[in-house]
Amino acid sequence: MKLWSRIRSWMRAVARRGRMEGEMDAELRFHIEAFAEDLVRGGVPREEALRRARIAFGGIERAKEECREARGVNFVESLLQDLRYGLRMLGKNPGFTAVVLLTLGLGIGANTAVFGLANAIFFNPLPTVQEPKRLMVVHEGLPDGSCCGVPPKSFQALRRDTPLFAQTAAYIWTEATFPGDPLPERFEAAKVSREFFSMLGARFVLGRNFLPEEFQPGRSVTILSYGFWQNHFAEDRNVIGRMLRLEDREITIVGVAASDFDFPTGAQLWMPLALSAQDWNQVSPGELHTLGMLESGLDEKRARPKAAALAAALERDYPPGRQKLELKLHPFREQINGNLTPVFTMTLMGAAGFLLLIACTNVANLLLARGLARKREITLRTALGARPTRVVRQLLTETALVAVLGALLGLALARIGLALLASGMPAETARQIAGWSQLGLDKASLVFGTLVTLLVAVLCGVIPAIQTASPKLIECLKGAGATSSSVPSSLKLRSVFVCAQVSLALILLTGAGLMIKGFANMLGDARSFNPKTLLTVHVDLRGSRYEDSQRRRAFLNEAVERLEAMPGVVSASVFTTPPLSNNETIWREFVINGRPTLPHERHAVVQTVSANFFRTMGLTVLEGRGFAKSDRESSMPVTIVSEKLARLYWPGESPIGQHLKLGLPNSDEPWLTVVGVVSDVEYDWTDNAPEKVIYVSYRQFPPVSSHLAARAVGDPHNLAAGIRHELASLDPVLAASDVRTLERLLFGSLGGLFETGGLMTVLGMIGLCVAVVGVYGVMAYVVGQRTRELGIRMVLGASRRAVLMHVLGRGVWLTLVGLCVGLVGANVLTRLVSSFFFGVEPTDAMTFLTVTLLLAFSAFVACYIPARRAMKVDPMVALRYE
Amino acid sequence: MDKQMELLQGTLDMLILKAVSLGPLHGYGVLLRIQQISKDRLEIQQGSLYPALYRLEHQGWITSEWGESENKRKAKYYRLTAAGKRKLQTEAEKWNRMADVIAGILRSTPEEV
Repeated sequence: MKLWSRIRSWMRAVARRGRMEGEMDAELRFHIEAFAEDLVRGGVPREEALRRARIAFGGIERAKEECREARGVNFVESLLQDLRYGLRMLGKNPGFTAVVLLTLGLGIGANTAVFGLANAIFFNPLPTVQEPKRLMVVHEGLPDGSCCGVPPKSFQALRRDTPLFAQTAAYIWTEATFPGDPLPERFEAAKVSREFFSMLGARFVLGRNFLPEEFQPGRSVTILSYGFWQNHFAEDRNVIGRMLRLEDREITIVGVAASDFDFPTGAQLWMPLALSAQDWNQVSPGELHTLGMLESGLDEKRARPKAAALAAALERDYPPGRQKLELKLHPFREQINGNLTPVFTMTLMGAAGFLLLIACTNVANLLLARGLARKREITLRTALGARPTRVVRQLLTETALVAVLGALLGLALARIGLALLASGMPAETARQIAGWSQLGLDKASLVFGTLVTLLVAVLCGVIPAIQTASPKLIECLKGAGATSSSVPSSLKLRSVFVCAQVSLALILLTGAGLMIKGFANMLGDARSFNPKTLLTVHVDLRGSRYEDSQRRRAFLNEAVERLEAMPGVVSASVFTTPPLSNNETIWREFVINGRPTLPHERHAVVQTVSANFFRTMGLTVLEGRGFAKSDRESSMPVTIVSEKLARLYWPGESPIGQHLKLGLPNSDEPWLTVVGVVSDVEYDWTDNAPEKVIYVSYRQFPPVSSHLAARAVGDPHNLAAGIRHELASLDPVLAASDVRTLERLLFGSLGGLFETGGLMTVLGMIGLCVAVVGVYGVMAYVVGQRTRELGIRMVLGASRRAVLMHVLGRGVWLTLVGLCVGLVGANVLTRLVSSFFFGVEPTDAMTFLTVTLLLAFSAFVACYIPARRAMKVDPMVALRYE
Repeated sequence: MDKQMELLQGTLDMLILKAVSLGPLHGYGVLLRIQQISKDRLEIQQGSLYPALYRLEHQGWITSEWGESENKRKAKYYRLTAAGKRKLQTEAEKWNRMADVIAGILRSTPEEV
């Protein structure tokens, strides 16, 4: 193999350089001596023969050099030489080296870290899946755009041979309550269909997958998650076959999943999804979550028409009168961590990209500056016969060296950053984020970092190298280049770089500013609930013991009373959905008495609360009254609606005394009388506006699943154990293990905002610093270059003030141009990505103004310092500067 | 002795391949062999012989190993590789075709044009 022989030859050339040199000497000496011997045999004296042989051979050194070149030694040789030289140059300019390496390190590090984050939670959140691109979440869509789970009957049909999916699997969230000691503990669990583990590529550290016959109702087996096995069985390898006591039955452990399998995210154990034949025939949308692995060769787009055709075919199986069926496919990885994850990761990657561009511009600028300083050296080399390509190669090698050193620093920074990020996330939230546990510098991130470094080397290296390597010989040798006369073309280029830096920084900061302001608004909303002092606990009254609504009511009544009686508790309340929780909202259709209704016309969030909920959350009753103790099961069913709903459906009139009903027009739900209007609050923050809400009282409609909340005086955490005990004494089987403040609860849904906001702030600030350093660098350089000119100006009578203004003017001018370009760019870009901002308009004037002023001020300072130095130039010293 | 001709550009490599195809040779031997076959009609720059040998080895057409020369001295011997054999064949064919074409052109008479 030709390539191989060449590489081998190179390697030999490098590794055994000394030996090869020796061999080459020996070989040539042999030639000359053999030639001479032949001459001696022909009668020439030995001395004369050797002399003639040497003459006949020609220049030995030249031949050797040509041999080295022929063997490829020169390439390696000169590379090593360039590297050594580059290192020496870096060591000689520690200031330059530090700024360049830090800039590159920050740029590369930020990009690698953000990519690591994106890779862990978005690109590859479930690493066991072979082809995550083909994995889809299947929903059954309703015509109004909302969607829900796939009915079991449809899942059965999907599972049969379809042209769409190679494999399908389903799961249902459930909970497993263990009679713990001393209090019962509850764990998230999932019931999964028989294809589940194989389709998602799960492996087992112990035991096995479920057997087909274990999917019959009545079989009690479970597979443990790795975390559960670790925490509760201390990685006991004899756990297979052991029985686990649940609250009402016993189950056998048959397997333990490997640590890299965590789906549905947060599930601690899995059980077979065992439905009866009757249940499998259900046509109403249930809680079944369906996943489908598309046939190979299909992608989301091409699968859509097939899904429509399949839905039409499935519809024939359904009883007439059921609404039209629509199958919706969503890429799994966009769904697994919530539909905002793609937006957040893309934003962060975009911001990191901007930061990288700023960093590259900065480094390119510094290299250009250094190139000018080295002009004489380069010119000398060129004059002595170095080819321009050779000089460019040397400069590029130096840039590559800088890039690699910067990359090493960057990877270290990325590693630290990711570790900080991982440790900053509370465990209970981290558990809910798919892929969070794999966060770190993995192979993919390293590859990405390397690619970024290559890009950096090219971006920063090429223009300065070409610029530097093509000096005007005569001029430079005359000594002009290195000192007073500025080199116009290069300075122009550097000015463009400065403008670009300022505008890139402005765009980055504006984006970051808008996001942060939006998040701050959102968190400000959350703060109005005083979430730090409100302890909440989720109460799940599913199951046979609470099938009777009377018992649920009794339990909640008693629980509220007991909590309120506890010392340190100001008040206790009940609600089904915490504000800003994003995914716990319950949307229902409703009809208004006396108005014609189309199906699916009116939707609202239904929130079941206790009387003091409004006060607890700081909502005000705007009209009518709030709930009262007199609203009980036997009294007239009443409702209180949110301001938004009232305005929308009763514009200009009072809704008090009107009647509305949940469900479809023909549902047998009771009519509710509107008795009050309450101010708006956001439940689902992703849609950027408060929802229409219908509030009902828990006394009249006792909920199955709700939150109990206690407002504490003093440290709420001291109360947590007391609350658990109170609830346990009320119902010893009920698990209420997750007592936490509303703040922690909200963090679960708003955590992404904190993370993204924090990261954007960091990226924005780094961008600002790098850009300011860039502006400073150029201004300082310009002043340094023009010292003599400024001195002459002063000698000729320019005042110090005039010199200051002259230098400052140039910097301010560049900054202004950069700011203008940046403002236009930011305006366009933020509009394009307006969906990334929550709680703020993409044209928010305050943000634009603040960011512009911040950048303008920083740039001004960066110009002012060198300008002051210019002012202090001593004319005499300046003139002697040459 | 006839006046020596200078080697045409690019033909040295081919001649070296041919020379070592007849048996392993050291560098000086290659020189002698070419001179011998050409009956001393070709002038070979001795200095350019070695770079050519190194280049051919670097490209994998020939390999080398140290051995003993006729007069019991250590010398580096070059040998043709399989790839080199193929290379020599194609180069020789190319050369022959080229020579035919050129000769044909030079032989042409006014009537033929």
